[in-house]
Amino acid sequence: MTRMLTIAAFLCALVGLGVLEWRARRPDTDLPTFGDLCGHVLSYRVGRLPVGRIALLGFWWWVGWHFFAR
Amino acid sequence: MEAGDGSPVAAAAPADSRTRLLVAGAFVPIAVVAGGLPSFSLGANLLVLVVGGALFWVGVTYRSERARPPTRRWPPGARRWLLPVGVLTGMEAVSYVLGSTPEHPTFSLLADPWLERYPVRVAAFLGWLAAFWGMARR
Repeated sequence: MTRMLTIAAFLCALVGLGVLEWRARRPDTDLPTFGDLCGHVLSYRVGRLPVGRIALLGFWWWVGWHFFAR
Repeated sequence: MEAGDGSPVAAAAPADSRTRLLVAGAFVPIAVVAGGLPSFSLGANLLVLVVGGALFWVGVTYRSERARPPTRRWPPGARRWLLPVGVLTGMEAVSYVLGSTPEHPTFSLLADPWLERYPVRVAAFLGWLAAFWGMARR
């Protein structure tokens, strides 16, 4: 039972992400796309250090290792 | 799209068709090879560490000198993303704390049987590389 609930929650969240992305790509909306949000994080710097790029690309690297290598 | 302070959100830099071909020409063979390397193998670990590490370095240094100044405020409407992202993160955290068992599976536990299939693994690896390209251009 809890397995089905967990899977349903994951699916709902993924569908929600898909719906938001679809709405964000329609004209005349103030909703940012997921890429816009990533762009905001990527632009974050502390001095000359691109903290946002290091964090997001580091997370991307870890995701690849977690799903394909470990 | 603008940030909350009126400045434009970083848009993806346009890529010409030659660059796209170069990227596809590099990414597709890597994904085809990676799809044949099972999880926990030395080859899979080396490929992800070497390719991921090289791309990480490229992504961190690429455009960093001419990137626009960062904006403090999030784009309007950004908080609507909090619900699905929060559900995904929350469920993942709860399942992880409960041991990532078949009754409380994490996302990666659910994905593992799918990723054992070669076409799915190749497509997923290609998606992982494409995600890098999407971020590096910003």
